This record gives sequence, C-alpha cells and structure tokens, in this order.
Amino acid sequence: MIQPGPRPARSKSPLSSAVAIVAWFTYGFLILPSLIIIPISFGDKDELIFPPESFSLYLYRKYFTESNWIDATLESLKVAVLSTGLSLLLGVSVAYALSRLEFRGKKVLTLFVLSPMFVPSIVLALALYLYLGSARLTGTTLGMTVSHTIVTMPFVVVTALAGLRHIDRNLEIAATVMGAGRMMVLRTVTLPLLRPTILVGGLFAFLMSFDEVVVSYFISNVRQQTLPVKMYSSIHWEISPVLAAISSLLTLLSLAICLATIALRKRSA
Amino acid sequence: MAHQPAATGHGEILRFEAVTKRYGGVVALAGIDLTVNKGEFLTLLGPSGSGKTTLLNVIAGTIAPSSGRLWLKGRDITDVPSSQRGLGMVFQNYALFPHMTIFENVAFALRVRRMSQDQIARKVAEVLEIVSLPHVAQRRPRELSGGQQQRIAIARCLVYNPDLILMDEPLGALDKKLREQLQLEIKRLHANLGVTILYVTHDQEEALVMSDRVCLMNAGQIEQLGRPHELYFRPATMFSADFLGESNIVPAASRDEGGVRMVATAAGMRFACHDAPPPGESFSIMIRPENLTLHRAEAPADALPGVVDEIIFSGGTTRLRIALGDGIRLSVTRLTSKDDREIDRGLAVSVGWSPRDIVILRG
Amino acid sequence: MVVFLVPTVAFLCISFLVPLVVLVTTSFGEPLWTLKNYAELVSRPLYFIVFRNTLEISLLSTAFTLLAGYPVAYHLARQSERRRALLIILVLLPFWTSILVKSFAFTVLLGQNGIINTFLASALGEQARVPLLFNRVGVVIGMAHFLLPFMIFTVLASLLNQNPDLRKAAEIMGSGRIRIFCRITLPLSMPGVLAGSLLCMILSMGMFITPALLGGRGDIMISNLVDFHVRETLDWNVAAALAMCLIGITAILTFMLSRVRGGQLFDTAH
Repeated sequence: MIQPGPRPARSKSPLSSAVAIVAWFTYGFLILPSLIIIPISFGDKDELIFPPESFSLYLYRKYFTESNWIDATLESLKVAVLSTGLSLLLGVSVAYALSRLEFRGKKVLTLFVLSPMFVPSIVLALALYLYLGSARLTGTTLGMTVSHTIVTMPFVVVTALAGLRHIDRNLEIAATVMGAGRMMVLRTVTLPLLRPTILVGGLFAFLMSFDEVVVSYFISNVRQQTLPVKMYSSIHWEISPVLAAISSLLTLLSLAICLATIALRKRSA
Repeated sequence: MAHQPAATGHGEILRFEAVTKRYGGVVALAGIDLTVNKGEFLTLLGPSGSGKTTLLNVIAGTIAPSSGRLWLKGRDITDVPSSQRGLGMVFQNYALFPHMTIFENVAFALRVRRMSQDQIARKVAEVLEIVSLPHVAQRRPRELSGGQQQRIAIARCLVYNPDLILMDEPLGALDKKLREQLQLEIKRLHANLGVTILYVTHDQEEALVMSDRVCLMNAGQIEQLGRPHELYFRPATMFSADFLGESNIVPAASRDEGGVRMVATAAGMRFACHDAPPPGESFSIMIRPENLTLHRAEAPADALPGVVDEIIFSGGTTRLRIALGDGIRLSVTRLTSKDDREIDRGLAVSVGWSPRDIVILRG
Repeated sequence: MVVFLVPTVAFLCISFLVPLVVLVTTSFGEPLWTLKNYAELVSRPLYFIVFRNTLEISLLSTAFTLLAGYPVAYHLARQSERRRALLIILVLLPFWTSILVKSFAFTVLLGQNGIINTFLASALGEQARVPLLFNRVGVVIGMAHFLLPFMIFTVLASLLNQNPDLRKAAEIMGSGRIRIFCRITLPLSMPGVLAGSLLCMILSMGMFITPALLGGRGDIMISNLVDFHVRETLDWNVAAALAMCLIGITAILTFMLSRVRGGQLFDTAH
C-alpha cells in the first residue's frame, strides 16, 4: 500500500482508532519483558527490585565472576558455533540439491529434511535422551552439537531454499553456457550470490542453538550444562538476581542479531 | 513444411534432425529439421508458446530433447553438457553477474578457459571498445542503464568467439527507441565480425529488420523458413500471411475458362492464374494493404467500388478500411498527404489492385 | 549430486530417524510390542485431566493471541512501508528473545511480590493482590506472549496479499469503513486467521518451558508429564507413549494447516 505523507487520512476513522489502541496495547505487552528486565539488571542488591533504588553494575560483575555461569556460557557458545557450522554445511548443500538438481523422490526428501521442524521439541528431547543415553553420549559436547544441529538445520534449509529461489536461474545458465562446470558455477556464481542468505541462516541457527533449552535440558547432565539449562533450573528452583543481567545481555544479543538479519535481507533484496 | 535450401552458401554450423520435445502429453517441438549456416543471422519468430524458446534452450543444453539429434560443426552434441558446447548466450534480462565488475563479467569465460592475465586484460579492453563502452570496466552491472547492460552482455559473448551466439529476446526489456538503435547495432556487429547468431523474438518487425533468414514457428513446428522478403511477400500459409505485417485475406474460387484458369475472389477481383488450385477446391488470396491504391475519380476499369468505413491515421501512413459490400472490407495503406483531410467516412471510392501482388494461400 | 545429498540424509537418518524409532519401540516396550503403556494412558484419570488441561490451555492461549494479534497485523498492514519496517521490530524482538528471558521477566512481573502486585498493593491496599503466577493466568499470559509473533506474521502476510483496489472499489461505491472491514478485509483474511490459529495450536500443544515455569503444580500439560515420568518415576515407556500421542496430535494439526490456503509455516521467519 502506498500512502503519501506520514499520516494517512484514514487513521481518523473510529475503527482505525480502536484498532490502533488495541495494537499499541499489544506492542506494549510484547516488549514489556525487555523493558522491565533491563532496569532491574542494574540493581545493586541480591534481590529483584523495580525500579532499582540506585544503578550499579553489581549483577553484571557477579555474572562475569561466577565461574559456573561463565562455564555454562562458554559451553553454549561452543555448541552454538559447532552446530551452526554443521547446520550450514549440511543445510545449504541439501537445499542446493533440492532446488537445482533433478532426481526422483524430491518431495519426499524435502519433507524428510524439514521434518524435525514439525516434531514438538519435548518429543525430540525424549527421543534423543533415550538414544544418546544408550550410546552414552548424554552430557557430551558431541551429543549436544548433534542435537542442536537437528533443531536448527531445517530452518537453515528453509532460508537457503528461499535464497536459492531468489537467484536468477539465467545467471547460472549464462555461466554454464560460457563453459563453467557445475562446481565452478557453484563456486563463482551461486555461492557468492547466496552469501547474505547464508549469513542470515547462520545467525538464525546460532541464536536458536544458543537459546535452545528443552532438548538441552534433557540431554545435559550436571557436568555439562548450557546457559539456558542453567537458567531454567535457576528460575525453577531459586530465582537468582544474576538472571536479570544475563537476560539483559541475551536480549541485547537477540536485538543485534534481529537487526543484522533485517539489514542483510534488505541488502540482498 | 519442407526445408528450403540455405540462403547463404557458407558451411553448416548447426543442424537439427527431427528434434522433438514432449512435456507429458503436450508437444512443445514436433520434429524440427533446421540447418543454421556459418556467419548467418537466423531468427526464430513466433507467438508465445510456438516453441521458439524451447528450441533455443535445446541448443543451449538447458532442455534435453525427447528425441532427435543435434549437430554442431559436424559433432553430435545431443548429449554434450551445456558447458562443453562452446556456445554464447544473451538473455532478455541481461543475466550479468551482479556481484562482479563489468571487467570480471566479460573476463568470466576467459578465466574458465584459463587464459593468462595479460591476454584477458587485452581481450576485455578490445571487446569493450567494440561495444563502445571502454570506460565502464570497473563498474557494477546495476550502475549501467538497460541498453548498456545488454551491450555488455553481448560483449561477454563476443570475447571468446563462440561458434554460435544464442539471443533470447535480448531487446524485449528495452523501450522502443533504444530497441531500434540496438537492433541496428547488433546487425552491424554481426556484419563486421562475421559471427553466427540465432535470435529469438516474437516481434515480427525486429525479425524482418535484422535477419538473413527467418524461421517462423507455430505450435511446435516450422511454419515457413526463408529470407524476410520471401516471408513477407510470398507467405506460404494463412498463418504466415496473418502473422507478418498487415494483410487482406479474402476467400476465392477458381474456374477453367477455355484452357485458362481464372480466379474470382469474394472482393470482386477476377484474374487469370495458371497455378491456382483446381476448381472446386476452396482457398484464399492475400494482398498487402500497401499494394492497394485508392481512387476517387479516373479509376482503372477493374478497380473495386466501395465506401470509406474507417480512417486510421498513424503519422507517416494512413490506413483506410474500405467496405465493398457483402461484408467484405479491405485495408488500404498509403502515405499520408495533406489532402487526406478531404477523405471522410462514407465517401465513395474505388480500390485499384494488380494481380501480380496477389498471393494464393492454400488450405 | 551424491556429494550434496548423502551427508545430510545420512546425518538425519543416524541422529533423527533412529532416535524416533527408539522412541516408538520404547512406547511399545517392556516387554517389547505391548500396548500396556497406551492402556495405562486410557485407564488412569490423571492422563485424561492432563490432556484436557493441555487442550484448554492451548485453545485459551490461541484465542487470546488471535484477539490481541489480529489488530496488530491490521495496524501494521495499514502503515506506510517505512513505518511498518520500524513497528515490526517491536514484534520481531520478542520473536528472537529467549523463552527463558521472557519467563524470567514474567515471574518478576506477575509474582505474589512481583511488580504488578506491588503496584496494586500500594495503590489499593494489601487485599488487592491477585494470584497471577503459578496458575492458568500465568501460563496463558506467557504462552500468548510466545505465540503472538507467529500469529501476527501469518495474518499480516494474508492482509498484505489482498489487492488494495478491492477496498478502494468498495469505498468508491460508497461503503463505510466498518462495512469494508466486515465484508472485504475480514473475510479475505480468514485463511490467514485459520493458518495462524492452527500454527499457534501446534506450538502450544507441545509447550514445555512456559507451563513448567509459570504454571501451577496441579495444572500441568502433556510435556510436563513427559518430563515428570523421565525424571521422577523413571517410567520411560509411558513417557514415550505420551510423546507418541503428542506427535499424533501435532501431525493432525499440521496436516490441517497444510490444507489451509496461505498456511505456509515458513513465512514466520520473515
């Protein structure tokens, strides 16, 4: 819809005003958690007070000096980086095959590759718990990385398929007619053009893995906890004020990644 | 249609042998036999869905034919992958690589062929000079206008001397003026460089302007193949007559009168024609509007009387629709003159014609 | 070609398909190939109550999400391109935010000594405190917050797909705005509403974190029961049978979603 001027005339009708009021109420509800978390995180006591009486970095300092929080964060970071890499490798290559190669049973294969998306995470968590448990892989970085890759890869595939659909097939045909073989076309034309999409998919996969909690909660153990698992038990058992600092940092990370993907999408359009 | 001998006498570059393409029950190409000669500008002309683009893609190797063979310079390339065929291709949407500079775009095929840096730099500079865009080497495709991008796309083909350049409606995205300018430019490049071009278009005027030969396609088959002049003045079928230019098509019948075969048309023309179909067979005749003349007084004896029904002024020429009675109407095209203002609807006129401009259309 | 397909397919077979097979056999297990675990689900009233809870909470959250989300989608659809890009960040940010961050925020907001109750108490006195956490209210609020972006993006897509000329035509013919909304915009957006609602049902039926952290101990959902069996009773077979039921419900809803025009699951990522 093209509306000249910033304030369309139709916003004056009673229907539009009513819609705007409800809409703004919902916008408020949507960002409310982020809005209260951040002030609380600057409190200076070991209890949650809103609004805090004075501002300090006490909770942040506590987070960065308590080794079990930092260990969990590093574990999450490690798993997120590894599973993002694996997701991209497997997801982009299968998306390329699905969109550019001709073979039988493509529909079934597409459904299979995307199917982890349709399985509720608690079901996936239980299945992996039973399976990795029997293979003695619960509580290991390998088990965690593989599990996260199953969760994130379908989303990388969906993103990559959309990106590949956007690439003008004539560009690849042009390169082929000029004498480039499949691998050379892939390396010199398709992949460079797919780069923004791959970055978006990668950021998405990273954040999903970094925030993943249900599957991780089932397959982790006391020795090896990711940050979300530790946060989950902390909220469940005793609410530690450090959570406010961690939550603020996570919100900041989400915001950064959210804005980065918007910018990347705009650039590739 | 049977094939016709090549218009130009050079050697053969490309030959189709009964090439057929079926999609399920739909026949996109129905047994195409066609030869393209070296140095020739051959245009595949036809309405959308006629099979011209499918045929081009079969040559490019992006569509595999259901049956038939394809020969390039005497080599059977039916099963040779696209990248090994040594062709060039120009697309309607230019298909320049947006992530590369113009230089890298043009150099692409040379890099594939592993040429040295010096050679690449020299050849790219040369070819950019040929398309009169020597200063854009470091720019990106999106910084150029549509016409400039298409010239770069052509340069990208010329630079590696492919045996055959395929052009898929390359001027379809440009406005009229630029299109006409580039038509002449491509024609000039063709004449100067001696490249072989297979051109696809649905624009009959473009086909007539540019081609050595035109291959008119309809419903997956070759309707007529010949020089533009032949197609225009000697259409072999109703479809050809109707597709190319304006035409008057009138039903006719023949009769043998004392050893002479006479043709009578529904428009009232009568003339002798020894190769007309025998009596009893139904056929039509075609005459171009510009071959008819308009008379107000002193008309020739056999001129057809009628009444002006419609006047279409289009600048340099004016087309008049003359009602002859019996629902028959003829179009007459003539150069516009200042006196035309005197012609009005309902004016009684007569239409002059000559038997030698008449083409018999069978079927 | 093999290079592009085989690693991914092999990976999925080994680490996704096989675990699911293990899950299926476990649900029929102890001894192998028995329906005992499923019979247990039918025979004990506890399971019936939990299934009913799950359905009620999901329906309630979806309805709440639709009521709060549709106006947002409508509002976004009527903005200029640039304003929409800015406002959409308000929806995208919660979409990208960790569910734990949200759950933590809601415990701080809704608790007995939380921000809302502290405010109520200081304004209206101690007796004004209302229980908002560890009960159904808390779960529905938390779930709706999680579901809203999915609903908004699905409905927004269907609203933006409408030809704006239809509304213009109706306006020229003299329709008032409310009539245009009721006769044109709303009916045309129904596939989006249906798709969004089904998507929300699918997501909420399998929800685990929100009911675990914001819900009442006696008001649990299927997922929490799975967790309970794994951790407390160590009855993996019944847990697996429960998970199979959840897969079945989700599969039916997903099939329905795939039948809805414009019900592309993948649009939500935009």
